Formats: sequence, C-alpha cells, structure tokens
Amino acid sequence: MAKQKYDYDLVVLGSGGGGSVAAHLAAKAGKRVAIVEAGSLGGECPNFGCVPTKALLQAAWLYDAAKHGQPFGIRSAAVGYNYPSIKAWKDTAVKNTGVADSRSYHESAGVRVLGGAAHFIGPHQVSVERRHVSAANFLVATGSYWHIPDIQGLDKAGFLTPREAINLLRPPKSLFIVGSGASGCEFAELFSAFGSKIYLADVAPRVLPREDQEVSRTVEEIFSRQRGMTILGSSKVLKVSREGALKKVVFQRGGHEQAVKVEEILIAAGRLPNTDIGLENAGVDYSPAGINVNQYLQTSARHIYAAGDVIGGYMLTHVATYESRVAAHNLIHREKRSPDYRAVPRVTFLNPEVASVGASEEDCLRRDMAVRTALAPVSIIGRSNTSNFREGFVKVIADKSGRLIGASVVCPRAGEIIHELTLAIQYDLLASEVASTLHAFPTWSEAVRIACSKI
Amino acid sequence: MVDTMLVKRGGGLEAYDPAKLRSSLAAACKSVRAPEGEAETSAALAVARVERWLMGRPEVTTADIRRKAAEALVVYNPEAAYIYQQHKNIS
Repeated sequence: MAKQKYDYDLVVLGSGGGGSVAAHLAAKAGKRVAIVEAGSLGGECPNFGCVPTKALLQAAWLYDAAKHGQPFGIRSAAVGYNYPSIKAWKDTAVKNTGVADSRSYHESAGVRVLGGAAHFIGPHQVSVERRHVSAANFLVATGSYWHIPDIQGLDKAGFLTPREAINLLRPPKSLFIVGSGASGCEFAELFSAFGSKIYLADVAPRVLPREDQEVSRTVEEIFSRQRGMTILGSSKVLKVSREGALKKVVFQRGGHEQAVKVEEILIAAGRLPNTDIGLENAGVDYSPAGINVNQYLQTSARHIYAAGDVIGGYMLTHVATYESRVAAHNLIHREKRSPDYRAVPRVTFLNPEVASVGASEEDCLRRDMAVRTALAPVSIIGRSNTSNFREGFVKVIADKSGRLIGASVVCPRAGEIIHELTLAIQYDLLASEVASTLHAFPTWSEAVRIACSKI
Repeated sequence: MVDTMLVKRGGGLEAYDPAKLRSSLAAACKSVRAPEGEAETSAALAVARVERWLMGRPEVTTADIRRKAAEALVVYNPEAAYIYQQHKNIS
C-alpha cells in the first residue's frame, strides 16, 4: 500500500462484521491497521441484535414447547418462567461472544483499537476524540441505526426500539409493534410467548413483505390463529399519546381511523445507514440509502471502501462479513473481486422458522422473468407426523431450464435447511439434481427433495 | 454548552463560536430582505439545530458547520440558506 506518509495503511471505521474481518485480513497481510469503534466492540449483532434476540427467542420456544407437551404425554401444568432470569440468560449469551473483551484479541493480531467516533476531516484523515489519524486507505463499516418514523406524540409518549426491548425486565402486558419485517415479527413472537397481547402493524399489506406471498400468509395465519396477535396490515400510525399508564396509538387502516391502548410501543420500522461521519470532507458520495460503492465496494474516493449495513442492501451480519472479506481482498490485491449476491440466505427466527434465498417470485414477476415454481407442504413428509407439526412448506423457483434461482422455507429448522438450496443456487444446480440427491428419512429436508422433484 | 473544535480548511483549529455563526446566518437572512427580528429569530433557531447536531461531536470541520447551518436555515428561509451556502463572507 503506502510508505510511512500516513499513520496507518488502513483505518477501519467500525468493529462489527463489516469492519473487523477486513482489519484482521489486512493485518495478516502485513499492513498497519487500526479499528475505530465509537460504541461497543463487535458492533450491533453480538451486543444488541442477532445474539441477544436469538437467545431470548430460544427461551421463548422452550417455554412454548413445554406448555404444549400434552400430545406427547408431557405434563406441563407447573411450567412457568422468571423473566429477569431469562434476561440474565440473554446477558450470558452476549458475554459468551467475548466481544466485550476483544480489544486484546484485536491488538494481538496487530490491529490497533481506537475508541471514539471517527469523523472525516479530510480525504486521508479522521478525527477520533480530537486526535487526528491518517491512513492511506479507509474501510467504512459504521453500520446502521433504527429508523424512528415521524409520528406525532411518539417522543413524548415514549417508545422502545429493539435495543431497549432486549433489556426489559418483564414482558409488557400489551405491545404495539410498528414494522412487520423480520425484527418486528421476531419480537412479536418473543413477547407473545410470554403472554403479551401483540398488535403488529405495518404500512405494507402483509407481514414479512419482502418474502413470497405464501410465507406471509402462513405466518399471519399462525400469528393470528395460534398466538392471538392482531395483525394490522396497510396501517399507518398517525399519533401516539399517553393516557394514564397506557399509550394510545391512533392509526389509519382501510380509510378509517382506529385506536388501541397499550402498555408499550416498539418501533421496528427498518434501519438507516450511519453515514453522518463527515463523508463530504473525504469526497465520498452517499444517499439516505447508504454509501455509494462500485462493484468492488470502492466509494467515489478510490482509496476509501465501504462494507456492511452502511452501504444499504441486505443489512445482514453474514453479508457484512462477506463484504468485509471482499473489501480486504480488493484493498490488498491488484486484481479486484466483486461480491456475488445471487445466493444470500436470510432467516427470520419464528416458530416455525422462515428462511429464503435468491429471488422471490415477486422479484421474478417484476423483472418479467419466466419461471417455474413448486411447493411442497411439510404435512406430507414423515417428520411432520413424528413431530406433530403440520404448518409450513418448501417453495422453489427455477428458471426455464430448471436451474434453481430462489427458494422459501417455512418449517422447523428452516434456517438450516435453506443452506442446501443456497448451495444449489450458488453453483447453478438444476432442481432435478437436488431432487435426485438422497435426503435422509425422516427429516424436514425431504420437503426440499419433493419440491424440487415437482419442477 | 457545545464544546466542539472546528478544523479549518488549512488545518488550523478554532473553537466553535455560536455568536459568529448566528451573526453570519442573520446576515444571510438580511441580505434577502428579511426584517431584522425575523432574521435574528431564524438565525437563532438554525443555530439551535446546528448545536443539536454538534452534541457529542468533539471535532468537525468548518465545511461541516457551513453545510449543517445551510440545512438548518433552509427550514426557516430557503433563499437565505442558498445565499449562505454560496457566499463565503457576508457582512
């Protein structure tokens, strides 16, 4: 990279998935590297996102399974929970990631850790707590933050974001969730398991609006019929106010104004990239959707790369770490690589899990692509019988030649099952090739074989 | 109280001065014929917005201040905000 003109060869802004991988790869390649972290080392996922929410959901599922053991001859009259203990379990899971103590891990790998918020003060310089740090190259991996919609009265009435919701000491008696994407649905699942009355609202007409229609229908059916949630699609929250100990939420739906009173409001209405870091001073172009990058993850300033949530896109931890690896390669090597997003698996941790990869049917219709689809309900396979679980399906989408281009799975362990289809799409396999592969009996994956055989 | 240092174009440093910012924003408003009272009020409100952005930021550039001030002023007087953004010195 550069001579000793600069303090470092590479400064990485952000120690989450998008930043730390590249920092370590560059240090391993002999570069002088520093990571700047304004908040908690490790970023959003291990501290406030994936790890704590999935730990809480694990407790919720165990409790739910224990309460419903009667068909299997399990008596569950005495099953209960202690929510502070559940929160303590969550804290243990977060602590077990080791990120809180990762400063020494970074330093021992040759990555200097600088605490504080970085702000660009020039193309090759950032200010970190008034200390000026220069570098030949930068990787911006500053992540994202929860978007708070402009709703009258919301600030005054008070609300939670997922960051606060994971630290509650008891589940709210009633909860109005704004946003029915993956996070909103997961929190709906979590708190409904512990008895909260849930209202799940979104301006989109269905829950999980980025998934295929069948996924949304199945999840809505389970949420409303089995969990007693009130699903409010095509609903726009107009205003919020305090009424005694409760919060009144007024929303518009189907042209009519309605209101409910709840104990708490959770805003899970999407995330926005953290771009307010003086990018203009470095000549880096960006928009509200994120930092603009080319196919090599290079910004408009060629010595500055960006990866992870800050460039928009999927906003998933595994995509951030993947982009971090690609950015590191491009920073170190002359021959550059582009990230391949054809087979990005994404999972919503409900019960049953929801997972998808590749293109959705709606994506294909929007692009006028001729596709073939097939769906296998899990109720027809042996594992459904032995588990007494009948909701869910595997849906596959293939192009005209039968090559797999997309899939959705709603069933237990969908988050594991999806990886077979991810591999198939990544390596351009035909549906018939997957169908002719042995799948063990009795597993949920048999539904993959059956769906592929129908293409 | 906002305790931010500003990095000038040449690399020098100066402390953030709210009175200086308010004066230049008010001057921009007066240059587009806003009455004095309105100019002062718009300037004060815009400065308040800038200072909310500056909270928790130890150091930014003078270009950042100019950008944020123009974004803040456009809410109260779009014409003045344009003038402020285009001109380096208004007195």
